[in-house]
Amino acid sequence: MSITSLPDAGRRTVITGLGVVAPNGIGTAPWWEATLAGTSGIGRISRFDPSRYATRYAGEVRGFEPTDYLERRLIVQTDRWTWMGLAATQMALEDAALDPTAQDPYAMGVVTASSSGGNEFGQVEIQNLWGRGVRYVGAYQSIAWFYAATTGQITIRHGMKGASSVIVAEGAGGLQALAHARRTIRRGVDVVVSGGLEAPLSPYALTCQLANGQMSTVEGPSAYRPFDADATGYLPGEGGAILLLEDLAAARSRGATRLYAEVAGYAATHDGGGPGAHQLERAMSTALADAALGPADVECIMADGAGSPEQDAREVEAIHRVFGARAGEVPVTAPKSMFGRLYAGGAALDVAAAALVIRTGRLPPTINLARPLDGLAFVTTPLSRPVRTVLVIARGYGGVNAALVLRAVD
Amino acid sequence: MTTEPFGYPELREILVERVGLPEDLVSEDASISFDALGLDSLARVEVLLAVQQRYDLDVPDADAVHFSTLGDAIAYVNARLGESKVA
Repeated sequence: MSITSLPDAGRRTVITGLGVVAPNGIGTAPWWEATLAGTSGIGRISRFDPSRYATRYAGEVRGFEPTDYLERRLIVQTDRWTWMGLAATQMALEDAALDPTAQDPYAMGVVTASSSGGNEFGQVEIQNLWGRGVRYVGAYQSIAWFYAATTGQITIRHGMKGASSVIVAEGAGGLQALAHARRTIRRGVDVVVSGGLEAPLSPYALTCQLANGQMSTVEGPSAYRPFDADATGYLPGEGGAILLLEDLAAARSRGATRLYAEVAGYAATHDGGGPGAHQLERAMSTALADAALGPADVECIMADGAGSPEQDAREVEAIHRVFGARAGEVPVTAPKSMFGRLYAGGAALDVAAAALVIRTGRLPPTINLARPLDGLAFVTTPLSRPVRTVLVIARGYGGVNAALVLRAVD
Repeated sequence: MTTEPFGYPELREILVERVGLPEDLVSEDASISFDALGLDSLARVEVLLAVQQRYDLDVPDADAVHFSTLGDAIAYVNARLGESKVA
């Protein structure tokens, strides 16, 4: 079936495959194991000498070898962020046992999120331009840098000719991409490769990020402490997740056996420059209403965890407003305390974690939480319990709020 | 910048380094076309740029037509290198 103009909300969107590249694990299983164990992947930046930068710690994906996944012909024309995206896509397709060559090319699309594009490739070319001259900029800069490069290379590599795009919304991008993938499925495309990754650790990209004033400049890997009374800001990281989304009926008819969870509800709002938690609360309530569920149904909250005192307080307040008396009972967690804020990769990885929470009944902890803010049930030690519904919260720089409800498939 | 002649080893190095071709794909056969090697239009531009950078030549876009086979490319670059020596 190919795309129509009118969306059919009767088409349900499910996650059938996961692919993860993260600072504490390459591959879904190693990452999940490390995350359940509270193993941090944050360390001193090694990709370049960070000593002159105000922030010197980040979640790097050490030991990622593009030649493990890609031929050199593709490697020379793409950025590290695209290498990771292609690797994660391969993992997700294998996980879902979906062979793209056996599908109608127009029934498959790709919607990923990106925040800084091919910045490391650009770093090299900018240095060529200003250090050696205009003649020394390579031709592949033209296709390696832009935000849709990863989406584009995925579509080319796997022959996916259905509606595809990129979403740029900083930390909220991962949820927005999944929501747009759901829209695409509702409009008739059966399979959408979605999620997002980021590789923002080049000198120029780090300089841009430092200008947002939200990063911690405290020395050491534990500086990023979401929901801790001593929070001083966040640390960045690289990586993220690709999630394979399918129309539920189409997935069943091709014999897909791994139905992790359904993308049951979604909403996005904007603070509009105003103070307070109202718009974040609205995103959460509207997402639940979109799922035809209520706060009483939520059994786990995957928090945004900005790691700055003002933003953490807003998120805590929004949770209180939505959950009322139950606010102190629903488990809340921010496993990103172990990998940093991954921009386009962050919320995608949170949804992968949420899918595994539903599948396994195991909830990952929040680390560096020595003095938790009052009133919420933060997960700080291994917790096991059946979970059918997870609320994932994600915020992007500038006031973007998004919330997504993941629900077990019956 | 170099004053060395331009032959198969030099062209192979550019194709391997800049376009990512496997070494054993570039044999010393003048008739092999860039098409047959799977180079798209952007890869051809990258080869042109590499030649410009390493041999200090300006290659106008119109001359890209000379980069259709390995033999044509080698002949073109050597002719241009010959020109700049004559001055």
